[in-house]
Amino acid sequence: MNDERVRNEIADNAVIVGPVVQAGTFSGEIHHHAAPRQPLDLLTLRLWVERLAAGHQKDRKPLDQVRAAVADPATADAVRRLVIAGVVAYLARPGAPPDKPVPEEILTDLVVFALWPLVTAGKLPRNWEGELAQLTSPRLAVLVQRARAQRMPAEEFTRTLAGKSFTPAITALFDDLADPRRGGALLTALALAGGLKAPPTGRRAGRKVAVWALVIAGGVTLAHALRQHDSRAARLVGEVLVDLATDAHDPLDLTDAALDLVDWLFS
Amino acid sequence: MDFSLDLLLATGKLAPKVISIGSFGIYLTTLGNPRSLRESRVTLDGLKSWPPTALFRWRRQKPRDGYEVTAYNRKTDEDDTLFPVFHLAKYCPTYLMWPKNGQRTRNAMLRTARITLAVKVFFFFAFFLGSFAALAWLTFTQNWRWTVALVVLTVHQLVFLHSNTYFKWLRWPRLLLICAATWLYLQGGWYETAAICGLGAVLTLMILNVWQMTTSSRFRYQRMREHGYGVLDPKHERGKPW
Repeated sequence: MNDERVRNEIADNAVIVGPVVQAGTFSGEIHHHAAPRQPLDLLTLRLWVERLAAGHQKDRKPLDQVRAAVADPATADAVRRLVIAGVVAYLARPGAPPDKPVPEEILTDLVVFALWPLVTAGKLPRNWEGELAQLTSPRLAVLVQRARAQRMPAEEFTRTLAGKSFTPAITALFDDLADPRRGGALLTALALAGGLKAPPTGRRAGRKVAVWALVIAGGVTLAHALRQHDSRAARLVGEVLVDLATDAHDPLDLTDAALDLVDWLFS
Repeated sequence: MDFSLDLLLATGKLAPKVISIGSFGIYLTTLGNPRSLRESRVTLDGLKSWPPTALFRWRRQKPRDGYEVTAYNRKTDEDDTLFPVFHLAKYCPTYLMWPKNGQRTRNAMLRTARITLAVKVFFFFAFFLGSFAALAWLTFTQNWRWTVALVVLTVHQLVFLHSNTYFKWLRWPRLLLICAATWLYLQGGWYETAAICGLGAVLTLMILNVWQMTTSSRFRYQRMREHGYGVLDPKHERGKPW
């Protein structure tokens, strides 16, 4: 492909010889446009790694490791990676957020997006059910197991999920995402890659991570909803945040959570 | 009979060796007892019966620590927590191999159960069969009085096989008894045989007494009451007017 030389004629009679095709007129300035923040698809990644491996016969061990990781999805932490990728995909979703997001469904949406990559994944590690149960709860793991077996459509999966309380599951998930030794490092990496602000990390920072995710997902509307203590959103979010406030010296008031949200919004 | 101070000092030196080597030998042999192997196999099969989404957690609770399991219950559509699903024998070194902090998946527990089973198989060949083979070899090549040790060990292992209970049998009266037997042994002559046979007979009777105790209904009911299983399981009392 590199041998193919294209002759381009430009308006001011300048000639560029090479594999570049220039269309339109040349103003004399070169603009560098940043590529959109999209991850490489797996096929392209594999091709690139193969090409690199072919060009580097020496010190192939690191390359072979990358090739093995790309070729086989059944590697360590695959379940956690898929779940975090789902969370980040939800938070960094393209396009402007809706003007009036429905606060009650923010948590449901977050859980659906987190679990959907596992429902649709073609191949998962052998003990993925156990890992997912550890990450969330046994009931959610069974639900995903059933959704995979029945090839459940996304709407039905969301409906099934929304009909149940998943507070313990999401509490466990945020605890994992906050811990740098577990999902924290991966969440930070993927969030930064997805163009998001770095999430807070720390062994007891599950509540802060929850607030971080909810602020990105819900924005101002959620903050307003949380100020009204009687609303269903306040109750649902409150359940999760209260469960996450495990430190006895750090009792949680819902007003604190609302203030946290507002701080995040204006900082 | 020699009541000299020198003999008493020699008794003080020899008796601790007899006690420590004898106790350690019995302990090692018990580790490889087929009953211990069977318990490991039962634990492995019990873990396999849980779904792969079940989570296990070590819980410290009186009267006995154990593992609790959190699993999805289709009937109630909720996650149920059951305690205890199984206990661990504290006297066995494999106790240290089981995870005690955090939640573990069934797969992680199965891995530990398989490793402990392999360790128990090693104990069976190395310690259980090894002890009997060593005592038999000593009997035929060194002195016929090793037969007494062989008999005591056989009875002890039969009791463990039947009761699955490891007793701390080294109490003060028994220690004093061993010291007295050692002193008698050091007198020399026919006292040696008398001391060995007498001590072997008394220990055998004590072990048989333990066997009788563990199989008595009173002992079994007391265990059921303390651990809450069998006919004294609190679950069986639900719905009863008394």
